[in-house]
Amino acid sequence: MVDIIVKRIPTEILLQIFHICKDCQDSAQYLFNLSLVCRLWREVVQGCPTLWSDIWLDVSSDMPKLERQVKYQLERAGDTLLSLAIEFPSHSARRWTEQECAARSVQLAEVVRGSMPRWKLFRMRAYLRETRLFFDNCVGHTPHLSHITIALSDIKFEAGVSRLSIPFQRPVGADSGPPIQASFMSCLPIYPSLGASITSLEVDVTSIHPHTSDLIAMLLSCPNLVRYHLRGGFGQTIGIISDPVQVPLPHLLDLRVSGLRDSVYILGALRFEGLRSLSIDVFYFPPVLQDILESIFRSCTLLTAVNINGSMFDRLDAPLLSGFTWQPVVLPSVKQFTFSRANAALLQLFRQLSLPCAQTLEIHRAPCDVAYHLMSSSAQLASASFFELVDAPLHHAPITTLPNPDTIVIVGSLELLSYIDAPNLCALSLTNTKGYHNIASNIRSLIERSTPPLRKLRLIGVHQLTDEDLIWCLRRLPFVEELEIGSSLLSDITLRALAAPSPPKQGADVGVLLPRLRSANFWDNYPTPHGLAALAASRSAVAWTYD
Amino acid sequence: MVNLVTSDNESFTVEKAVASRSVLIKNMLEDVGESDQPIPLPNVTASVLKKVLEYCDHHKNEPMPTSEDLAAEDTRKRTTDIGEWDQKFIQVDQEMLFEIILAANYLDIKPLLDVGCKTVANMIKGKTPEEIRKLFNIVNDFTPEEEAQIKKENEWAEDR
Repeated sequence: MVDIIVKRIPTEILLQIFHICKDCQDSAQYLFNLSLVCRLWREVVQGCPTLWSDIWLDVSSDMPKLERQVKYQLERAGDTLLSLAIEFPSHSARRWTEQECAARSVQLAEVVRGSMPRWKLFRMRAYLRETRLFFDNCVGHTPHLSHITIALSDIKFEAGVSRLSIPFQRPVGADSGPPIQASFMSCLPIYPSLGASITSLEVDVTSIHPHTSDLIAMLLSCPNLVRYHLRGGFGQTIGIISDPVQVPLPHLLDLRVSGLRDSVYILGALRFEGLRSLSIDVFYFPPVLQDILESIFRSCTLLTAVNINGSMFDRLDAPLLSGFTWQPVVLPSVKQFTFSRANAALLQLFRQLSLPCAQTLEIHRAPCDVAYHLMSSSAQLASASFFELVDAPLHHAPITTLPNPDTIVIVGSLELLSYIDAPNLCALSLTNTKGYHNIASNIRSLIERSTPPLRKLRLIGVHQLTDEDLIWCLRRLPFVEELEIGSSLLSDITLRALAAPSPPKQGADVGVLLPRLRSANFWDNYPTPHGLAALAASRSAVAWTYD
Repeated sequence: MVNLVTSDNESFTVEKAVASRSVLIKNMLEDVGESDQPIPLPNVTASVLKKVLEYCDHHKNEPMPTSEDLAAEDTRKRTTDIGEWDQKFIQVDQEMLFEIILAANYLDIKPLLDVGCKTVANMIKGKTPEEIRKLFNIVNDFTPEEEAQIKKENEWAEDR
């Protein structure tokens, strides 16, 4: 019966199924398997050029086989654009000598060279020597190339910085072709002709040791970059350059630098003004980073997302830099601002920032005053999260009204609560990790001041909140639907307050605490099993969880 | 409400939002305007339509895929990932699975067709030709000579 239905499936649907299979597997083995099922499937597979356009060459195969594969797939693929992936096996999986391996690279280049004008995507994983040999013998025009990915294997076998000349070209005078997204691991690309077409460049230098000048040379050859991501090892250095060079990247929108102990040398060389997204993830904040960031903040007025992550070794109480201007810096377009583990110098800069359009603010490990300053400068906040907040006196700080926030998360010192008025807050999550003592009054004052329409409430580590405090809070939060209370003094007294009256009163929910409650999770508190069972029995519509 | 009549003459009255997940029905409704006339679906049986409508009802509030979405899908690599609810929904016998695919194709419900095709692709993945034949009860209509010839042609793909 199924056979009959399978035969009724229209060709275009069979093709859709086969294409899904193709996109999920590298090998062309599946095409062979599909075409051996029955005549109909064979006709469908053989008659569809796009099924054959992904050529994955596993160089551990015999060379004649690879040649036959390329020939066969190129014939079947017709005029469609090609995705070519070449994968050399690791040293340990090889059966050939170095000379044989070199010969393979050259042969392979000769086999695929003729198809270069049809390449859309090129991907290669190999060792440096064979990759260079391949490229030396694969020079030609690639007018349709839009993606190039090169990953050098186990670079520890190789010596020095792995510069790799990419010999692909765009025809002179013709349409410039699609923009190219390039990704390189363990090598630095040099583009004799292709650089101007590269708009996205991702380089992982974790296993090699480039100098700043190498990175600058690479960037100078790609003047039209829109996106640049440089990934180095944590603690890795790139070194200072004797003659400062400027790298103009007028189209750059997205810049990410991660790792690298002295990434400031490359950051300081870049020139851009239209940047939209900046992400810096470093092992260590050198003092000069503060100046570079300030310069970026002042010049890139279109910046919408900022993410700065430091290391846990930076000290919050390090001496402040002398010579800091203390001039306010406004980031007029920033919607999302995140930082974690800034050092004292950066915190000094952050105290001067103003984020009038920020909607999301996320701060990890910072003194309360910095969190307060950034929060109070962001009148349009929709979500504010503060982790590992450290007590710091907020002398004479006025209460800041945040009309929009939907969510506030605070982990650490909860002192900040005393300075917030959030009348439209829907979700509040508080985790006290500092043994802070004024929790009850802080929470009470926020609720009294803002009467927020909370739907989600999470209170963790609030040992100072008594049953009386809890009941007081819950009574003023009638819209709560999801509740979590952990590591608190909650006992049967609160559970009894939450229970439905028995027998039920006329008019559902009259007098019930949290009438809209749908789920509640209590853990590490002081209720008795009897109290929990009675509560669950009285309000069966709520999903209760205890631990 | 919209009245749909299946090939086995069964009527289904469903919300317009549910029926309109089918581009075919949506276009018909737009063409005829407000009308109480039942819409005949001669290529779909009641048992299959019931299942299709279950899918449409669950997804009725989701945005319809735009032509840009569909064009982007053609260039993007496809995955075999299926959402949790859809996975449970599509756990049916093979006959029903292919009937749903055919109905989704006829009724022009692209997301449902995708779920069906991904499910079949998942079933095929990693299987030998013999295993695929057995799975779908497909008759091997190659002569031994033809099979040998194909294998010879595709020698490069063997033993990978």
